[in-house]
Amino acid sequence: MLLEVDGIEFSYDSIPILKGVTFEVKRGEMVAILGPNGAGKSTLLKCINGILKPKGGVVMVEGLPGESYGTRDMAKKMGYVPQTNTGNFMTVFDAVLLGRKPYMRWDPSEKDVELVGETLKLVGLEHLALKRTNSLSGGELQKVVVARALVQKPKVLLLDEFTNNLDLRNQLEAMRLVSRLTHERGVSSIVVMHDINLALRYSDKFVVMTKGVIHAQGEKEIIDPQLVKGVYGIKVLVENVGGVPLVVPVE
Amino acid sequence: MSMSVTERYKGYTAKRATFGVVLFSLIILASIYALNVGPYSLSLGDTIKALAGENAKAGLVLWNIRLPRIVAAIVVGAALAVAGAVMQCLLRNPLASPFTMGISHGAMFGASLAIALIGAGGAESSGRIFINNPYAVVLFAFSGSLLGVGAILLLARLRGLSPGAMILAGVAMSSLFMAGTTLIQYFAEEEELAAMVYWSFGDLGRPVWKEIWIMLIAFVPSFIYFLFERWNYNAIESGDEIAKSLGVNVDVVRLVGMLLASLITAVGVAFVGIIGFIGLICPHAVRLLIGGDHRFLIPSSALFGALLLLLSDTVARTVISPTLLPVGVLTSFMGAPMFIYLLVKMEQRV
Repeated sequence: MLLEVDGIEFSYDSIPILKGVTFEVKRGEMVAILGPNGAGKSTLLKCINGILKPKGGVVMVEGLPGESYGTRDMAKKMGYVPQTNTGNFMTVFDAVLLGRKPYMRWDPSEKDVELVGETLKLVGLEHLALKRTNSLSGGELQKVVVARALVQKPKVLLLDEFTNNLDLRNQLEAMRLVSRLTHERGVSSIVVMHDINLALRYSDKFVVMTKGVIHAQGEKEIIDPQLVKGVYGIKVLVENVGGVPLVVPVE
Repeated sequence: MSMSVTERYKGYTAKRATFGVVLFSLIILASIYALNVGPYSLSLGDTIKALAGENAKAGLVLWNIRLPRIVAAIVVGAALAVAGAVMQCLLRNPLASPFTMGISHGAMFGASLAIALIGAGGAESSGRIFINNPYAVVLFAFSGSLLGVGAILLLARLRGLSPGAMILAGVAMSSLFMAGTTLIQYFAEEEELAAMVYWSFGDLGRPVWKEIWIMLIAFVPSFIYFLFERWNYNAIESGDEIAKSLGVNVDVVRLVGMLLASLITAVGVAFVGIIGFIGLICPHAVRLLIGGDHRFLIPSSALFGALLLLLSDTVARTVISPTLLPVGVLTSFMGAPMFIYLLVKMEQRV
C-alpha cells in the first residue's frame, strides 16, 4: 500500500474538524474525496501532507510514518496543489522550477530545467513560459501549480479542488492528465472535488466525508441517490450515460 | 526554427544576469563621478594623483570626506533595498520596507536612547556630530528596531490582517517611536539634542571609516545568508502552504530573515539616520525590470539600492552647491509618490 491514512484527528481551537479518518490508496489509484462544504476535506489533505500536524492518528507513506521522513524527503514523496493560489512577479518557468527545490543543492541542474520544459509542454503552458504568473488567468495559474507538483516527481499527489477555475474543456483535460499520470507513473492521487460527475468519470475510488468523518468509501457503485440524499440533503437520480454514472438533481 | 522553451528560458536568465553587471558598472561610474564633484572640484587625473598621495590637501578631501561618503551610500543603499526585498517577500506585502513598517523609527528611538542614557555621542562646538561609542549605539538601535519588527510579526500572526492594515500598524509604530524620541529629546542636554535630531534627517556625510566597517560587518554576512535562502524566499512568495509542502520551515525562515533585515536597517540608521523609501522602491523597480525570482531579485536590489542612494546623495550635495541637502529629503520626494501609487494599485486588486 502506497498511502495509509489511519485514524487522523484534527481540531482547530478545540473544535474538532477531523474525527478519526481512515482510508488507503494503492499505487496507480486515483481517489476522489467528496462531501459538503466544511466536511474537513481540505484539512484532511493538509494533514496528509504535514502542512498541519494531526492531533491523532498516523499517515504511512510507503510503509513508513510520515514524520520519519525529513521535510526535504517528504517533499520528494508528496506534491500538493492548494485550493487558492495567487500569482506574483515570477515567470511561469521559474514558478514551476520551484517544484525541483527538494532536489536542488545550490541551483537547478540542467536536468531540472529540461524536466520543467517537458512538463510545461505536457500541461500546455509552453507558450506562457516567460509570462509573469500575476498576468495569467485563474485557469492558467492553476495549471502552473499542477505543473509544479508534477515536476516534484511525487509518489503521492494531493489536489484540492484543482479544477475549480477551469473551463469545461480544461477541466476534462486536467482530470484526464492526472488520471493518466496516476496510472502511468504508479502515483497515488487524492483529489478533493465538488463536481461529483467529474469525479465519477475519472476516479477509481471514492471517499465521502461529512462533519469530519467518512460517511462511505468504495468504488463508483456507492454513489447512489440514498447516499447523496444523506450527505448533501438533496434528491437526485443516478443515470448511466455512455457507461459513466451521471448524478442529476431532481429537486 | 523557433527556439525551444528551455533555450528561451536560458536566454531570459542570461538577460537577468547581465542586468546585474550593468548596475555594477553604473555604480563604478557613479562613484568616480562622485569622487570628482563637490565644492573642491577635481579632474579625474587630479583624483588619481590625490588618492595615490601626491596632493596632501586633495587627498584629505578624498579619503576623509568623499570616499567614506560614497562607500556609506553604497552600503546603506544596498542594505535598505535588500531589507525591503526580503520583508516584502516574508510578509507577503508589497508595501513592506524598513521605513514603512516602523523599523527605521524604532532604530532611531534606540539610538537616541543610547545618547541620553549613556552619553554615547554628541555634537562638537563646530556642529559636527560624533559618536564615541558606536557599539552601544548599534546595540540600542537594533533593540529599538526589534521592538518594531516584534510588533509587526505578532500582528502578522493574527489571522485576517490585510496588507493595508499591516501598513497602518507600521504607521502607528512609527508615530509611537517618534513620540518616544521627542520625549527623550525634551530631557536631553543641548549637545545631545543636536546628535539626536540628525537621525531624523539621513546624512551620509557623517559616518567615519570605523562606523562604515561596522556597517559592512553587519551587511555582508546577512547578504550572504539572504542569498542562501533565495529558493526558500521563492517558495514563501508562492504561499506558506506551498512552501511547507516543498519542505521549507516557514516560521524559522521568516523569523531569521526579519531579524537580519532589522539588523542591517538598524546599523544603517545608527550611523546615517533615517533614509526613507529606498527599501520600498528599489525591489519594486527591479521586479518590474527583471521579475521576482529571488536568485536575481536580491543581488540586483542591493545593486539598485546602492546606485540610487549614491546618485541621490551626489545630486543632494551638488544641486545647490555649496549647500548640502539631506539625502533623505530627496529620497522622500521620489519615494512618497511611488508609495501612494502602490497603495492605490494594491487597493484596486483587493
